[in-house]
Amino acid sequence: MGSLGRLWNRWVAWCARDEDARPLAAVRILVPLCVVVDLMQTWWLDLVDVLFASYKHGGIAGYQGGEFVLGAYWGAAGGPLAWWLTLVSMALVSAGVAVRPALVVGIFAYAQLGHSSPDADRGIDTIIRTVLLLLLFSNAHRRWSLGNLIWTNQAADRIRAWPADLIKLLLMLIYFSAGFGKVLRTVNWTAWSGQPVLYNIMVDPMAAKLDPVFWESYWPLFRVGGWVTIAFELTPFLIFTRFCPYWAIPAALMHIGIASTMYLGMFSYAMLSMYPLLFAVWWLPWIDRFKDSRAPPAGVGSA
Amino acid sequence: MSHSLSDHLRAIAVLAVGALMFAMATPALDSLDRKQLRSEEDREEMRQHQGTWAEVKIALADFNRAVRLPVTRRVERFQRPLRIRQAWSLYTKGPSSVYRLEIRVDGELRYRSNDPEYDWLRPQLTFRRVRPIVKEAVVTVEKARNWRGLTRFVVDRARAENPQVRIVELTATKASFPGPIPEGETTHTYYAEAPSWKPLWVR
Repeated sequence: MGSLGRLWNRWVAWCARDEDARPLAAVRILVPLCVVVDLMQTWWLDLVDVLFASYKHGGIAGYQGGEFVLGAYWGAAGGPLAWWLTLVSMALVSAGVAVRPALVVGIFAYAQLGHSSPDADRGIDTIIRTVLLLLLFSNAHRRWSLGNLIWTNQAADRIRAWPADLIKLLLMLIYFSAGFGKVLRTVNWTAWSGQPVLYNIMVDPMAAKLDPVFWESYWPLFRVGGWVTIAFELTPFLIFTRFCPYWAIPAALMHIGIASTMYLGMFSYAMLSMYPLLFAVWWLPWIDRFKDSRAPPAGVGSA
Repeated sequence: MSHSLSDHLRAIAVLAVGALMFAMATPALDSLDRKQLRSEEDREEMRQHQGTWAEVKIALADFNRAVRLPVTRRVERFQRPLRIRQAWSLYTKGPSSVYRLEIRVDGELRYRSNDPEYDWLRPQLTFRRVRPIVKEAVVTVEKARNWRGLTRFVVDRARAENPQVRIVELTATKASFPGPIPEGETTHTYYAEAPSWKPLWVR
């Protein structure tokens, strides 16, 4: 067998390998849960009828995507219908009930929400839909799911690893593109002087909670923050190495910083919902140790 | 070690999906269009300004045009309905000025962006799905995509609170950093008046 053949066989073996089902099950629970909370917030703010409707139907959207089929059939009710379908589907996926049908309906309805009001559909929504699509082909629903209890299915300890690998690839591409784009489009991210770009972003009154006047005296803080951002955004290939959890620490801190200082809603939470994959080598042994410490000693209660 | 047919098919599928994800989101190329560095004039100008780097950029633009774009165009028809376009240049740069939205109801200031003193409708206007619509309406002086709907939304909330309201104004302001209040020039105003309540725009 030639070297190409050996390489292919290694790739086939890599794609066929199993891994612990719990990290991907955690992603399956947390990512749709973020969507549920986001949609409930839309309802709580009394925005469902206006945000997902066109101007002629009494809504905010000045235009709608040509693929908004629910709107074509149901008019003004199309947006709220997409909202309901997405909400129910995401709740089912998160709970682990009828996961695959719920994912099919949910991805379609979630995309319809985007078509109903394209400017209200952000990058994080695209990321989530991509992750949901990858989960559709996984066995993430075979662990930590109500469906296993209802239909008394055997929970899976190990599942195929490739869907988790593709989600990691997605994260790698997202972070690297963000970092590369920053360096390519403006030199200020790595500059030693001048107004830090991170300051511009984090005090923008249209998106942030920080006061631009007060924080002007803290430019060095933003400058260092910018360097750290560039450093980890240009090195996300570490996700596929044993340094993955160490790489993920500043990334997670950045998301926590964004969540507490900016009006980006579920962006940070949804991104962090995928981090169980990145921190798996740390939290899985911790859970196992906790379980072992609560288990009765050998021979007790096993009769 | 021998693998089954399904193992090989899975490996092909994973490779194809991974390669497509990479092709569609190739950093830097995802923002290049077909016309970039196509003409000899553009290439020569690039060579004069960027020296050795110019050849790398020209080669990347050629690769983008010949290989990447034809592939991504074929996948586009599947991406569009599901809105899963893979291009991730997130938060590359901040705004160049300090923009704010001010809302006045019958002349009284009720809301100003990131001003805790005037926070009427703050939860709605800063909600992550509405915030980009507000920002676009403030930053874009002419032809913002959703300004009519946004103006009517604010008018409806003001009238629901007080049916006697006569005029509602949404004013966009722009200042240089750090842009202390009340600095900032008015760039444009959206407004609606009783009895028609038709959304209007004035510079």
